Amino acid sequence: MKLILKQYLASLKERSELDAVLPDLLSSMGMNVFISPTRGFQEYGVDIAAVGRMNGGDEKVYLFSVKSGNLTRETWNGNADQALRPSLDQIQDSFISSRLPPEHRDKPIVICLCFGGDISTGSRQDVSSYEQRYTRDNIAFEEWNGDKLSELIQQHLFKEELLPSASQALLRKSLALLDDPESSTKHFFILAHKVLEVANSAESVASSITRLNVCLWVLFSWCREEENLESAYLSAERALLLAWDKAKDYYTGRNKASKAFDSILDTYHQITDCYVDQCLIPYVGLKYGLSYAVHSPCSIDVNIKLFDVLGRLSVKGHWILELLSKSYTVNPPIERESEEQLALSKRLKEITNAINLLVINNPILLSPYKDSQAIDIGLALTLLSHNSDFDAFASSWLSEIINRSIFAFECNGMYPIVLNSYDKLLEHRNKDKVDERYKQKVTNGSVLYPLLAVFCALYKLDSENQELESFAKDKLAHTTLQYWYPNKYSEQRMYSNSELHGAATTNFPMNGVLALEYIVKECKNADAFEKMSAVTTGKPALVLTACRCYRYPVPFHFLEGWLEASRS
Amino acid sequence: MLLEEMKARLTAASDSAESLLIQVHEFYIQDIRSKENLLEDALSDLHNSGRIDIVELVAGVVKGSSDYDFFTVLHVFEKVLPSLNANVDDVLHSIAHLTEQAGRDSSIGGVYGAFTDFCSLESARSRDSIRIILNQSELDTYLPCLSCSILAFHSDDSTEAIQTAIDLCSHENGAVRSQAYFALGRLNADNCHSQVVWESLSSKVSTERDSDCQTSLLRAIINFGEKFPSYWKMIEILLRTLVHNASPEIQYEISNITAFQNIDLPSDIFHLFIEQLNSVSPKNKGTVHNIDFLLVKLVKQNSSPLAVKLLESILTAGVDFQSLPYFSHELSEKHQRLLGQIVTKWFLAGESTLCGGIYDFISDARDLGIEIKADMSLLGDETNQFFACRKAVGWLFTKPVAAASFVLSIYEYGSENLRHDLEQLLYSPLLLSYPGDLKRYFHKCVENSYQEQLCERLIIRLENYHNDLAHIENLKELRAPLENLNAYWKNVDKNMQTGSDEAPKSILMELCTVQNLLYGNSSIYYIHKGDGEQVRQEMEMLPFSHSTEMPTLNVLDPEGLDYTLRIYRCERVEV
Repeated sequence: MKLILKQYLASLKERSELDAVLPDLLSSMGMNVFISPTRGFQEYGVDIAAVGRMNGGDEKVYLFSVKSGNLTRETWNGNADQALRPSLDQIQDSFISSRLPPEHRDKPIVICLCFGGDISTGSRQDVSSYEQRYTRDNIAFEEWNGDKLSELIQQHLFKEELLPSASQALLRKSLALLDDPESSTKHFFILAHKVLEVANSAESVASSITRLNVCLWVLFSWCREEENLESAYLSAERALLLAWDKAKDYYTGRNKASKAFDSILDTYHQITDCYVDQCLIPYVGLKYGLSYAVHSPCSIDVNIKLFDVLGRLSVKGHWILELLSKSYTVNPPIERESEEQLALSKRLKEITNAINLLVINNPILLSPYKDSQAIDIGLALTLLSHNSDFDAFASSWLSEIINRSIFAFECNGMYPIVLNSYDKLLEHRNKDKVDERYKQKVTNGSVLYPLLAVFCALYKLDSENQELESFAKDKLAHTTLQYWYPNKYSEQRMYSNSELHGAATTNFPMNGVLALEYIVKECKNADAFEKMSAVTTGKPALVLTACRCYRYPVPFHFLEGWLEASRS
Repeated sequence: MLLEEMKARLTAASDSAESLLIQVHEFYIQDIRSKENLLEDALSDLHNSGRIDIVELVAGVVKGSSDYDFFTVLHVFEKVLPSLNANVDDVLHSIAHLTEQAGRDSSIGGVYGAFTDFCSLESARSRDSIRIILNQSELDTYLPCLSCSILAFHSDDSTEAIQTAIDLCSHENGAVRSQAYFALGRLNADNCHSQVVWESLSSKVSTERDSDCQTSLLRAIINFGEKFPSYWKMIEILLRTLVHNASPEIQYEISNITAFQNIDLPSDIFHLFIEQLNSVSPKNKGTVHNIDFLLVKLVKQNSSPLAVKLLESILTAGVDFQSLPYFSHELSEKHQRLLGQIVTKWFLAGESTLCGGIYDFISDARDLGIEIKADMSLLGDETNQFFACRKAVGWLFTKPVAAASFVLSIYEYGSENLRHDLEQLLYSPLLLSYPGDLKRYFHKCVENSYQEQLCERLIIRLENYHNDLAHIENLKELRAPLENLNAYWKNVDKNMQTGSDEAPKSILMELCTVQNLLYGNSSIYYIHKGDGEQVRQEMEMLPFSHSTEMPTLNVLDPEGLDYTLRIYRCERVEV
């Protein structure tokens, strides 16, 4: 386990990545962290400061200056940004004399040179000489390298009582199977359950989520090394939802449980950003690029993966949108947007543009094979509905989806079916689809067509709406046209997917106007959504993440503003 | 070997029919090798001298015998029969037996010719033969000899022969009438008798209802016309009645006459016959087979428009190109210009049966890289040119070289706008779907300086695209799960196995004993030499494989591709 942790620490690329785990580690060692890391900003050379006793010794002040990777001549005293030696000088010259809180001034000070890897041979002599020269009665130096950090993590975060060997084995399995992301994620999912199942107080929830976060970081760092982020993405999504399931009862935004959750949310964002930026955005502009990346001789694989990717991009967009909305609420852009708002707006535009290009360059996204792909379409359209610049694109995309779905149904091609497994889809492709009984069986229910009808009405696509209505009347008489709304069980089950939840409304009116009236009424009746913890704490994107992850339709509540506007 | 020696050995073997037949078989082979014809003389001498009875011998042969070859006996009897002194009755029974044994094998036909020669040597034989045949209670196996008997009458007895045939034309038994019509058409009637024959034949046209008899009647009338060309005009009028709503049997006969007979038919009759073939049913494989040859004949006779018209009609009637292998081969190998005309005309017409016919033709072509050049004189304006190109892509998508060659041939004459559209059409969906086959083809075009600039541009565009895709090559995150790939290939294997099980067996498999080797890369077998010695041989097995390029877009955007191709196939333009 120590080797795994050491490799994880050595592979951290940014200083901030090491910063993220260190305060948690120090807290779990019983220390009091009084300066926490601020991204890209050092306080007179200090990244983290803590006070406490280590191994039963005297109480000391520990001042950390953190670097990522190995300590080389360059990162010691070279031209590298924020080299270590100048930081150590700053600590001695400025921090200790002017910034150290008065209550800690009489205590012995340990300046910790913290880095994820090792000291390179070339800089060893320089570092040792420096330490000897500046060691005084009350100031000592310690080297917290990857070896020491991994030992401390193992001792304090991953100790047997907290992370039993069975769970450690799950983490190892998860790391060993990175090339098979589904299996890797499966093991990580069990691990997450095991880590969190014992948490039943604010304290234990915080500590469990912190541990899970470190495990997730280990997985993420290994995924980066293997250049395959799939397992990290899927694991992060589930870990986040399970963490919320535990943290929601204690979440105040300020306590330890909240901070632990925010920390794992931050990890989730780092992983999903990395995924989106490395795997999707660079290639969405290339015709058939991402379809080609599936590397399969079968179009079903391409179809499944592309809709999956569409959902992931959309959820990312929803999170950015949520952050931006919050920022606007806190700091209304009266004169101009703040830098944070500008950055978020830019990022949101990047994501929505990527969705646009993804659909244009991968036309398989015009032909859903599974009815449940309504979820990914719903996520994307809900996001795009917030920007009228994409109205024309969304309308034409909708129109094409409708045309192709009807065409496929009438030509007995790959029309959308309620079955989800790959085998069933293969069977669907090979099936003699003229068989009317089969056709009725695999299209006996749908959320896709109601969703399309609603968006057609919202985008005022009258002819498509009529076509869809006639199609439903003539060809889908046997189909239970429906939609899903969260109910009283959803809050309990949605984040863990422990059991079925929510209510489905049937006899969905396919006429655009009636459909809008119907869903407005249902949204009002289904008030369980408004009471969901993710919504009340201002994190509704968690609901959308759960919808994507556990395959539930996007609640129409996310369109309420537009629905009201379209009716007035 | 001397004749006497052969006779002696045959006599010695005549103790039993089996041993004699074995000996005949042996000498037959020996005669072929030595290029001598001793056996014929030997057998006829022995028979005529009473030492052996060939006719009786033949009456006992069995087709499936392992001791001698039935067809050897048949052939020997055919050679020797005219020179035998034998009773007509016995000979007829022997031939009836041989007919029964031969079943549907056409090799029996030679024996009937020999019987004609046999009868022609004595006038009485013909009369006796006819009488004996008509007295048989089971006529079937004797009937072929009836026309032979009539035709065998000496020229001095032609009046009797004609009258006999005419009389038999009214026989109650259809098979007898059929033989009589056949004979009547072939008898060497002189000018004096021509009118009698004509009246007899023409009177039967309106009364004959039996389709086999009508066929014989048709054949007889055509033979008559060939001998008496002055009657062609009247024959034409008569034929319009006879072939109206032609039965499958009549269609077959017409196809046979038009395809294979060197009869100089008047143009009107020829066209009348061709018209009757337009509605041939694909079920009538014999007729379709004859039409296959007829089409080639028409093209060779510079009657291509007639051939194309007939071809269009039979394709519309449901016949497919697979049933026309000879014509297909000739068209692709020797008549590329005509092929271009046909393809252009049909694409422009947009009729799905005919366009589908082009696809079938290209699919069956031996040359997998068959190229087609459009006939620009048929295309007219740019709308039509672009329309024909889209048709080519729609219908020949899975034959990319054929489709691309057609488009390229039009590109050559197109305006800037059209060229731009055609270039896009060549790139997507064609080149993007078939980067292997088409890149090779475009390279070939560049080497041959044919549309060099365009082909180079397309190749560079594809290479740039592939360079961009190379960046995605190592992207692992989006790869399909192994589980899915395994399920897919398992499914493909299952489908391939089912297809293989249901596919028609190779003719080689039917002819040879199949042995399945479980291990090793060669098989050991022994050659048995005549002297009983065995020679051990080891035959190394050679790998055999076939590969085909699957269209990329069928994986990346199958529905979009399907939709586009359907549009290309179904759209129409006013010509």
